[in-house]
Amino acid sequence: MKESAVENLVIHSALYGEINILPEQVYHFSNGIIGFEHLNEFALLPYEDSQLFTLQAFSDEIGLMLIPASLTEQHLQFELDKQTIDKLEVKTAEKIIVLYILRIIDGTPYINQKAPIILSTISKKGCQYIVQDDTISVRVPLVLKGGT
Amino acid sequence: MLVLKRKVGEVIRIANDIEVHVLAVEGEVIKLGFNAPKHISILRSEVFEAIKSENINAIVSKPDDTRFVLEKLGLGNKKPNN
Repeated sequence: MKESAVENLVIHSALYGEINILPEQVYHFSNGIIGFEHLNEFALLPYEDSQLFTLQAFSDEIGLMLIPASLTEQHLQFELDKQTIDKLEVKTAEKIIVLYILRIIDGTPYINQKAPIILSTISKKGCQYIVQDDTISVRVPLVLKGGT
Repeated sequence: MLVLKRKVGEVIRIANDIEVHVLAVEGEVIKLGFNAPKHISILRSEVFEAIKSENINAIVSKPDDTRFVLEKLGLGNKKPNN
């Protein structure tokens, strides 16, 4: 059997050390992520045994912590524009996952509600989507669903 | 930097397919309209810079950072029936 190049991916992460990546964990970001436009390949990895994820770049020591928007009280309704739908090769809404980038400042978790990470689990494409609404902020304190 | 003077109602064209319309001038505020292909992202610079800054500052490099978050959020374990 011929071995594919992506079958045995190992990337180095400051968080995990050397890690093996499964092909289904790989997402292609054709436009990169704002600030890291040079990076196109990322691995979406469950963080330990939590419900959080890290999005780990392949070729750089860049990892972001992500929280599924569905776990927060801040699950926005927004309509994806056609350009984004085409970019992600999306067929139906069910195949889309929306995650917020987490940032900790002085022990308080914040999410970037304005620019979530959107992934298509079928096409394995991703992008950072910008919500076109001036009232939505890039930094809001995280409120967990059902949390206090 | 290329500097052009335009009046209200006039248009600037960038490459073959991008148009910038000067729609109105109200005191210090200029209202611009853009016609561009869908793949061209048009954003206020401060929005772009704010997102970029948040992204760069959100990079996690130490396992301690993330463990702290898990504990803080009580997200350390999956639901039992998973």
